[in-house]
Amino acid sequence: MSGDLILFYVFAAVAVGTSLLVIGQRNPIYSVLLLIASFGALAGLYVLLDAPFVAVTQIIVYAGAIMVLFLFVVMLLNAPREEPIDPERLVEPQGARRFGVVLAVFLLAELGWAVARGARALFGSGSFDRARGEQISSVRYIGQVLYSDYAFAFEVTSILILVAMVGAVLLARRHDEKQV
Amino acid sequence: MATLNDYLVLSAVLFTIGAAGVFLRRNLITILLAVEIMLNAVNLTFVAFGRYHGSVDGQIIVFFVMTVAAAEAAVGLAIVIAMFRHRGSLNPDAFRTLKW
Amino acid sequence: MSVYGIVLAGWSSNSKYSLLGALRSSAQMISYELSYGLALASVLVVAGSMSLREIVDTQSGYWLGVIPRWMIFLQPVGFFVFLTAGIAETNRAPFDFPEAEQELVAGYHTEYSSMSFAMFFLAEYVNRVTVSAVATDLFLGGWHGPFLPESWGWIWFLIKLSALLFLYIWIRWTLPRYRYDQLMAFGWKFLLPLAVVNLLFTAAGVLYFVR
Repeated sequence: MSGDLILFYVFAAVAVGTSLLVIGQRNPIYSVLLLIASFGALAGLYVLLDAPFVAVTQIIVYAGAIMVLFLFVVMLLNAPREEPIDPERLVEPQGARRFGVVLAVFLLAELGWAVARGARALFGSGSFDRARGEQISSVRYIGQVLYSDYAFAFEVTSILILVAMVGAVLLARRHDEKQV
Repeated sequence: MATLNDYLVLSAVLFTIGAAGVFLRRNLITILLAVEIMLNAVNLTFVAFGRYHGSVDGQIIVFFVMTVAAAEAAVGLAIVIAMFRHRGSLNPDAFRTLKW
Repeated sequence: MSVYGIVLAGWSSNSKYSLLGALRSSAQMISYELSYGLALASVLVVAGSMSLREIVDTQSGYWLGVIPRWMIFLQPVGFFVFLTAGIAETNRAPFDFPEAEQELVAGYHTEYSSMSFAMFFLAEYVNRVTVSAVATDLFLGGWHGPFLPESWGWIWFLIKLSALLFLYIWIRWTLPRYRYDQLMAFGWKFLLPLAVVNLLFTAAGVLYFVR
């Protein structure tokens, strides 16, 4: 049981546990904070995978910016605690809930089967080689590849962010009496 | 040393949790959070495979996925705000009719 | 990520003054984070490395035997942007509207007293010292200085750090407070374009003069 393996299990347990709590919590504030913890655990996993740039980006972008956005929106809307399903108002929710759980179990079983069966046969060629890992994860190399091979995608992404900014501002605008 | 299988199983579990969250939760913001969980699971898969094959492409694609996720979260939350202002509820069941 | 502490503190106080102060403070912080990061990026472009130790090491030595090779002489605009954004980030005058005693009672820490309040203040001051320390490393040559051997460099570091903290205090007691909309306009309409242009010129300069 090497240290790496123990760390992997610790981070994996934190990620899975907090994700389960995220979807299980009634109060959306707690969900957001638990998801931040989950992202932290995932950043730890990225470091274990010799991807420090991705780990830092995860913390800065996901945990530091996107979750702040979620927190602001939850506070702005004063999001109420979710009420339990009202049995006499809607007919199907109880059955729908059970069906959803069954579907989730099926999805998990299918993914598990696919992973267990396919991974060994198809991907026998690679390995978690340490030296190669450190070579490809340097920020310098990532920068070089990003700006040369993926330059077009990079530029398109900047336009995408511009569109998202304009769209978000437009959609969340208050519409006064005069309909625009 | 954790093998590729371990990472893939972990991604699968996280993806399932996210998908279950999207199906089962009745709060728009929590549904968006579950979508973020799914995106993170996919990111983990990309990085694990990239590492396994000794290629940096996994990390580059994760960079783009994160950017797209940020843009999508921003627009999604703007839509949620607009919907909340209209109906006063964050329950997706309150938006049953096509009439705005 | 320090935004979380302020936002959650203000919101959990369940009072409108705290919430207003918290929202203003966090909006201010995320606005100035951009200029902060861009000024940092300009230094990285000049130094060519992300390691703090290497950045400080590129600042050792002298030009013409007299002027030390500090980054502040190569990046004066960058230093100005970094320090201004740092002062705004740490909610210090003239950008301390969210904590303004006269306007909002005490902003987001209205409802806190004794130990919790002490924690907030300690955290804020530690934040300011950290910003000054990072600025010393990036712009003022860190632990390099004349007359002392390298192992006593921490004395020079403390001297430079104290100079920056003195600057912090000096500015606080000299300048009047910005109103909130002036503060946000300054951050978005002046500081951010300045930081972007600085980065552009720095990158162009490095490309032209070094390669």
